[in-house]
This record gives sequence, structure tokens and C-alpha cells, in this order.
Amino acid sequence: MAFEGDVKDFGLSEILQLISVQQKSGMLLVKCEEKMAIFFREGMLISTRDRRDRTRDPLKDYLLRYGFLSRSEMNSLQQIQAETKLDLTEIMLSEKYFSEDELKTIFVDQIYETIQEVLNWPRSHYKFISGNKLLQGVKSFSDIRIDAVLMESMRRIDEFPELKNRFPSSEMTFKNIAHVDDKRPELTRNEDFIYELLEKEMKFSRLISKGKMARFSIYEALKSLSEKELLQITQKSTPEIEATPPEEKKETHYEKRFLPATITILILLACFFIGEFAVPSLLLPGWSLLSNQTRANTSTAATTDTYLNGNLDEIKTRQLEKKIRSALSEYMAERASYPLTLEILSIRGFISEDICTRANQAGFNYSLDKDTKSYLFKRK
Amino acid sequence: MKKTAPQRGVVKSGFILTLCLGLSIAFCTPARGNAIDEITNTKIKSYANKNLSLGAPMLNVSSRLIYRDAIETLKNGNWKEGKSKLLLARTLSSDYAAPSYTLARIELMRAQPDFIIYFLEGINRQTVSFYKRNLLLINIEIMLIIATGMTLFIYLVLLLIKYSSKLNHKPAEIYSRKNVLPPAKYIGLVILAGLAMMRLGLAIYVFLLIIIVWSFTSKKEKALLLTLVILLSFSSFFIGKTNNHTPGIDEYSVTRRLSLINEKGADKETIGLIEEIDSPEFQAERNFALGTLMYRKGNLAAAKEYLKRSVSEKNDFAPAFINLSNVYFKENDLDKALAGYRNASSMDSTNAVAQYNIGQTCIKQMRFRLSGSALTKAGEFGIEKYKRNNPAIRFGNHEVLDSCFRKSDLRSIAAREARTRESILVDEILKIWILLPFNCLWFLLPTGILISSVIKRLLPGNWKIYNCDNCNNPVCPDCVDSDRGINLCKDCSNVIKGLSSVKVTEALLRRKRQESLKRTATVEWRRMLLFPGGTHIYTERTFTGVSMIFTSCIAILFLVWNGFYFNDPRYEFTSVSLWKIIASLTIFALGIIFSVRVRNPKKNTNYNILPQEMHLEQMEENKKSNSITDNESPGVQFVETAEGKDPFGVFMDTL
Repeated sequence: MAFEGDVKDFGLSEILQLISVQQKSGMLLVKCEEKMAIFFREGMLISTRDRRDRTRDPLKDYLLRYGFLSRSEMNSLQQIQAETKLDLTEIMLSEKYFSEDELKTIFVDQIYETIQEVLNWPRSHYKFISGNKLLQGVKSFSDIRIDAVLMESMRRIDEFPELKNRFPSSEMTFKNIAHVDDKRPELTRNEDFIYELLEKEMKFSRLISKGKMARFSIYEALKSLSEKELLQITQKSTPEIEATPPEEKKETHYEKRFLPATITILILLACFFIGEFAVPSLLLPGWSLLSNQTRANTSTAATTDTYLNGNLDEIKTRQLEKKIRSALSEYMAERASYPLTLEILSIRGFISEDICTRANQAGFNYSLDKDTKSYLFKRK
Repeated sequence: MKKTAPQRGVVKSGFILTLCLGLSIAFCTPARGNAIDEITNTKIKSYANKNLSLGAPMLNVSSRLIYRDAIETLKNGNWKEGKSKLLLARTLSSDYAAPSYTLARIELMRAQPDFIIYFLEGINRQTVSFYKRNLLLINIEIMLIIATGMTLFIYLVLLLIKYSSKLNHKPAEIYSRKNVLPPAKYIGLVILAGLAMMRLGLAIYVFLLIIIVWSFTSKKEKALLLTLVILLSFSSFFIGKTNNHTPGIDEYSVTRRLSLINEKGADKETIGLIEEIDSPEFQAERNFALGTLMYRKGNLAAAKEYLKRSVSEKNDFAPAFINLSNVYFKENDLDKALAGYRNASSMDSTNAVAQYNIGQTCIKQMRFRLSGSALTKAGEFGIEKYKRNNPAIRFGNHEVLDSCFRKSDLRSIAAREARTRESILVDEILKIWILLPFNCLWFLLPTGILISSVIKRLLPGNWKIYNCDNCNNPVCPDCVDSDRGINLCKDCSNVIKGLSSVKVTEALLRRKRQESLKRTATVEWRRMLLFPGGTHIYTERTFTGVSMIFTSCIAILFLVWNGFYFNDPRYEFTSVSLWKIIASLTIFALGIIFSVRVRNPKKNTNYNILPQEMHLEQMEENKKSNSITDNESPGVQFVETAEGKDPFGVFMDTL
């Protein structure tokens, strides 16, 4: 079941109240320029974190914006999250970034701020889908009553313009006014934290990013501290020079870098020349890798020295000779005469062209006698 | 009414007569004349008759021509005539296998069971003559030795690939301490490239590979490696024995020349070739061969002279006695002939030809009882086999048969001749690849194993390489991280650096493990597909892997040589045989397919990798703080699958 509409027709606060009264479970999707998902269980608000929208996590933004976590810490967490597929809250708890109570507070504050933000959207479109299935996998630390959220949000919306008027510029700087401890008026937890933070003079924008609480709460604390005369406010601040870490000089040891590469290339070249010159000179005669010249020489030597006891090449040549002699016999048997040339043998299909060529290369000479009944077939 | 005795006799005789008639009709075959008469081509017929007149024991040339004619006839679609020509070609030669194989193919295509007989006959013809047998033996020896060598080399290369990360680890680590370029992971590859460029020959490479790989291999792999090394060392040690077959295939060796009298008649070329033999060691055999050829030619005086010389030079040479006796027989000196045959028979008691000739001589002397017993013995000793192996003697009018060289005689001649050879044939074939004498391998290869074992013992402790418990990557004592009770490599250790939570650590390690396995599944797996059997070796199915490598090596050799290394030059018509290419490629392709089909193993599938104690500690902590509200239903996980999408996803899609 789903219902949808525009806030100009039916306000978002009414919708929230309706869900609360009806004790509905499901998801309310609000779309304006941005998109926000609000999850409900039995009329209670449980989360505003859309686990499917990985590009925007309100909790992550909240933690970064108010300095709960540094950028590098968040990067490291996100990397772990990407690799483990665990929820951000799970990793933070496991790795003890926050205790459970702390995380619960942060979580609730983030929901309050998000709702306040959503209620401020002027022209938005909403759609509510009911059903418990949608809540599978939604992490929650607290069930918040909607009327409480609405009331607090409305209060913030009402009071915020006034606070903004009081602290209009982000360029304003603040510093606490030191008091002897027993004379210092009583401070709330938030006020105390901001007071301690303003030990050094700090720009407003920086204070927000270090405040570890919602923007409205910082404004509120500043207002209270100012009323208690514990705050020194300067409109025009001296530009804050942030100490930037000295750039690490990148040592480029070109020599160190390229020396091994050069040595490697030289060694490979040396290996090549060893293979080309040194190894063949160490081998027995006729043992070089596929050296045709050497093989041809040994073949000739075998022919002259050990005629009846041939080496491999000689055996192959003799086989070639035998093949041609057999073909000549066949030719004789079929045609009662020998062919004029070896080429005729190959033309008539008694031997292949390749054999004819090999015979010529091996130095065989074929000649026919005048009576064509005998032939001479010898090597040069 | 009872029949009388004469009537019964008539009935009985009638029955027997009918039975005989029936059997005669059933088993009678058409009478065939002389096979020479069946040759239709007059020129071939006259050539065959000329060879017969020169006493040729078989008519190989005529057989080849008729076979070729038969193939042409078959191509024209006249299979009946083709078949009869094939049968004729088969009859004229005893060692020409092609007609039998073609007949087997024809019968197979006609679904006749006779194809088995022809096929077996073809195989038999491959080994019937001394030349053919030697050719087959030497080819098998060469094929087995080279295939074993190739298998060992490829097996070692595949093991090198398999253990490359382990092998590369320590050199890369030492190198990377000070150097950046070239990257440390390529250092092993650079060393290999350097070695390859030196072209030291496969023998040295196998030796080096054994040294490198041996200590990393598993027991099963070691056993197979050792088996291959033993096989190759054994063949290297006894490689000299293969030379005994070399003279048998060398067309101009003494053995081969002498063996020509078993195949050919007394033609000018054969006589010339045998006359050229001048080695004093083989004079008895030379004279016997020349005497036999002269006898076949009809030159009895010259034959007697040569054979007498042969007998005097080698007085226990039975074939010379038989052929000399044949000369006496032709001269009608039957007593001398009979005495000669008996001498031969006493030297070689199972000589069928001697017994046959005794029988023939006795018939001529009208001593039929002796003749009968001698002919019976001839039959027992295999005179029919002799006639089958020398088919041409059926076509001539031979009262007595001449004796050729027996296989044992030729083997002994070949062995004697082999001793005079300086080089080993297999060595000559392999030398261009291994660059070392093959008979060195029996020493070289086991030495490689010994050196590897010694090096392993001598290496310092921090050179010991083992695997990361998480991702299986190699680690050594210098780079291992054992802080968490398990051995982790640098990469895994970096991933969980600074983390304390067991849950997150486990998840990150699991992720790293999955990545590593994925990489193994792609990069290393592809490398192992280099050769059939590689993936089997990778998955520890070593025996199957090595068998596949061996089979593929044989297929490759078959493809490269288009059959065996040496072919019979007399019967080689075409330079390339298509079926040999197809068969070899099919075997190789099947090997690749089987290798591809092997499933990549999932190593280290334990879900949790950290020690149990750490998990227990974490669980206790979790119990203490159990306040998180988790809407995830127990056992239900948010998993997006192809079949069923998460309902939330479906909803988002609709939006």
C-alpha cells in the first residue's frame, strides 16, 4: 500500500503525524532537490539512513560536518566498509570509535537535524510505502516519537532565525573569557564543551566543524555562553593561519633507480652474447643449435669417411636416394623405360615435387643411358 | 518292414555321398590360377616375370603399382574391381601393409567383420621383415625417449609456474629492499630470460629446473618427477643398445645390403651393393649373399664358389649349407645335396627349409617314407610361414627352396656392425636440442635432485618459504606477521593494520582472501592452461596431468614428423598424411578441453581465519553490550541475487 503527494497540498508534518497516529511501518521517501528516506516502525521514527543510496549517508555527513571524525578516519572507515560490506555503525562500534551511548546520541541528533532540514524543504514530493519488509537490514539505535521530533524541529525552525541574526557571519571569531572556577556560572554539557573548545580564539566556521554537535546546538550554546558573559566575540578576525605541514621533499635518486635496470639490461645482453658466441665454442663440432652449415659439413664428412656407416643426415640422404630408386623401378615397371629426368617422375606422381627438390639440393645427379633401360644416379 | 543289410548299405552310402556333395558345394572356392596371370597390365606383368626369373622372394614394385592402380579404381567408384586389385597387391608382397589397411577400411565401411583380419594382417606386415621391424623399433624408441624428455621438461616448467610466487618471493624481497626498477615481481622472470638467452640446451635447463623446483614440490609430485628422471636416466644409460637397430634401417649399411637378398632377386643393383662390402668381418655373409643371388640367377658355378667360401669361413652357418646343397641338387648330385641339408638340419634343428629340401630330395630318390617324415617336420617347423613371407616362390617352379638370412643372423650382423658406429643415432637426433651427449643424462639428472636436497638443507632459516594462512601467498620469516596467532603476508597484514575488532578483521581478511582466490582463478589458472595437463597438476591430480602431457607430446611428435621419425622410403607416396594431422590435432585439442574443464579449486575456504580464542573474547564483549536494535531478522541476509531481488530494491526500481 502506498500514498503520495506534494507538501503544498498536505504538509509533511501532518503526514508524519498521520503515520504516528496510524502506527504505520514503512518508508517515507521525500524528494525535492535531494532525496531523503525516513523509516518508521509502528509509528516510531527509527532511521533516516537509506542503505541503498551509498552516495549519501546522512550519518556520515553529520559525523564529518561536526568533526566527530576526521576526513582520513572517514576514508579509512569507508574503505573498510567497501571491502567488508559491514554497516558504518557496526565498524565504528567494533573499532571502538564511539561507545554505544555516544553513537546513540549522535544517531538521534542526526535524525533531529535531518527532519528539521526536510521540513524546511519548500516544495517537495513524498511517497509512503508501508510494510515491514522494507525495514530489513535497517540499523537503528533508538525509536523516536514523531511528536517529539516535530516539536523539537518546529522549535528549532522558529528559533534559528533569531540565532542567525545574533551570529550572522561565519567569519566571526570567539574566545572564552577565563573565570575563576568557583565564580563561573553553571554550564550545560554542550556549553561546557564549547567553552573548553574556545580556549583559543576560533573562527565560527571552524567552531562548527569542531563542535561535535548539531549546528543548532552550537548556536544555542554560543548564545547561552554569550548571555553568561563567558564569550568574547570579535566581528573582524585576524586571518587564521593554519599550520600546514612542510611538504616532504621527494628524493629522486635517479642513479639508484636506474642503476639496477641498466645492470639488468647489461646482464641480459651478456647472456645473449654468451648464448651466441661462448656456448657454441664450447660445444663439440656439429653440436650447435640448428646450425645448417655444421650439419652439412658433418654430412659430407660421413659420406667420404664411413660410407657404410652413416650418421643421421647420411641415413636420411640414403633414404631419399632409396626412395627415388624405388620410384625409378616403379616407373620402369609401368612404362618399360626409365624417365628422362627426375622431374618427370614427380610429374607422373611417382614422387612428390618436394622430394625432387631435396634430391637436387642433396647433390644427386640423374642421367639416362641411350637405351633408356639403365640409368646413373649418383651424388656429386 | 525291416530293411535288409544291403539296402541299409545303399542308404548309408547315399547319405554320405549327399553330405560330401553338400560340404563340397558349401566350402568350395573358385579355383584361382597363378597370381601373376591376374596382372592385367602387360608391362607390369613382364616386369614381375623378370623379377621372378631372377629369384625374387617377393614382388614389391609390382605390388605397389597394382595398389596404386587399385586406389584409382576405388576413386572411380568401382570398389569390386578395386578390391580384387588390392587382394592381388597383397598377394605379391609380404611386407607391404597398405593393401591390407585399405581392405580393412573397405570392409569396415561395408560393415563386414573381415576388416579385423585385414587390419591385424596390416599390423603384422609392419613387423614381418627385418627392415620393417627395425624401423618400427627404432621409431618407437625415438618416440618414447623424446616424449619422456619433453614430458619431464614441460612438467618441470608447469611446476615452475605453479610455484613461481614461492620461488620468486625471497629474491624479490631481497631485491626490493634497495631497488625499484625493474619491479621486484619480475626478477624471477628476468633470471629465466637470461638463462633462456644463453641457450644452454635442454639438458642443462632440465637440470637447473630440477634444482629450482624439487624442494618446493609435494610428495606426489616428487614421486612422479623421480619416476620420469629414473626413466630418462635408464634410457640414457642404455642408449648404446638402440644402435643395434640402426644398421637395420641404414640403406647402405652392411646389414641392410645383406638383408636385400630376403626381399629382392639377383638384379644388377643388389649384386653391386653386396659386392661393395669389403669388411673382412662380414665376408662369410657376403659370400653367402652373393652365392644365393648367383644361384637365383642360375649361375651355378659362381654360386657354388661363393657358397663354398662362405661355408669354409663360417662352418656353422646353416643357410649357406642349404643353398650350397641346392646347387648340388640342381646339378643332380642328390647324395651331396642330401648330406648338405642334413648338415644344415643338424646345425639348426628347426630349419623348415632344410627339412623341406630333404623331403624333396628324398622324393627324387624315390625314398618316400623319409620324404614324408621330412615334409611333416617341415610343416611343423613352419614351411607355410616361410612361403607366406616369400610369396613369389609360389609363382615359380621351385623344387627346392633357397634359404635367406634368418632374423637371428641379421640381428647378429647388425649388433656387430653397431659396435663399429662412433655415434648414437638418438644422440644425433637430440643433440641440437639438448646440446650434451644423451648418455650424460643418467648422471646429470639425479645429480640435480641431490644438489637441490643439499641446497635445501644448507639454506638459512629465514629462506624457508611457507604460505599465508589467509590468502595462500608466500611468506618467509622476514615478512610474516604472526601477531594474531596466524601467519599473515604483508598485504593481508596491511589490510588489517590498526584494527582491533575481530569482526572487521575477519571481514577484511575474507575479502582479501576472495580477491586472492579470484586472481589465482584468472592469472595462474590461465598460465597453467599453457599445455594439456597443466590444470591437473595445479589441482594435485599429478598422475593424470603427467599422462596427459605425455600423450600430448606424442601427438605433437606425430604431427611434426607426420607419423614416425623414419619412414619406409619404398612405400611413401605422399609427403603429408591428412589423417595423421587430424588425429594428432584431435588428441592435442582433447587434452586442452580436458584441461579447461578442470575446476579451479577453492583453497582455504574456512569462513573464519583468526584463532578461536579471539572470537570467544569478542563474543563475551558483545554479550556485555547487547543494546543495538537490529532489524535484521535472524538468519535472513540481505543478498541480491539474479533470481530474487531484495523487495527494497524492487521498490526502488518502481520509483
